[in-house]
Amino acid sequence: MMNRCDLRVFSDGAPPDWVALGKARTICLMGSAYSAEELVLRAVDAGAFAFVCCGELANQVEDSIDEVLERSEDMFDIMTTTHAGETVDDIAFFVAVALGGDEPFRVLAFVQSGDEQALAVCAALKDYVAVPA
Amino acid sequence: MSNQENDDAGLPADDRRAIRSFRKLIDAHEKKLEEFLSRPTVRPGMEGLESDLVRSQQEARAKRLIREIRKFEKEIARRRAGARKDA
Repeated sequence: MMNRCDLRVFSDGAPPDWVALGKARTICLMGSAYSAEELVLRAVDAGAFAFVCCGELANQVEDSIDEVLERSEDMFDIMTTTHAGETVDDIAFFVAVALGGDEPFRVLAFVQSGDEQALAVCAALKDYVAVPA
Repeated sequence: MSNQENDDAGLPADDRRAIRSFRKLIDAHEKKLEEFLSRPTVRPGMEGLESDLVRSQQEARAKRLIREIRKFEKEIARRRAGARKDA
């Protein structure tokens, strides 16, 4: 069950240093209000293969990400998912085990302080993955 | 228990749980695709654009949903094949 994973949380609009992050197999965990076009495109460049949306605004956030990904066929294979009504543990499992699989991956979490479910998923992910010190 | 769930009964618990998640996503995406195909909507901000552009955006939307469904199906197939290989 323990995968090699790097979990990084970006709260309240704190921008990632995309250059320093480089490119790697990436899952983006999306809380509310983080679906700006630039973030989606940067994340795709950084290796994002899935955007997992949770919390109350999950459907709207997924829609806005879809809108960006629909613009180029190169991005059609990138998955977007929503998890309304699912438990925190089910979402963490989906990210860490179902999507993450056996190969190393990282999770970039874009959350707001009020995103209770997304923050709880980040906490739960620590039980599923070996987070580097 | 459905036939599919029956087929998966011998798989490790993690694989069964992952397959259930992907099946749920397939159902949700199929529903979304069905609704969109029966009543195609226009993305906000594209309402006034030429019909060719709108049509091409709508085609892209449907195509991407189909590709996502295929991707989820592949994940399920990969889980089943991997479990069989490990058995």
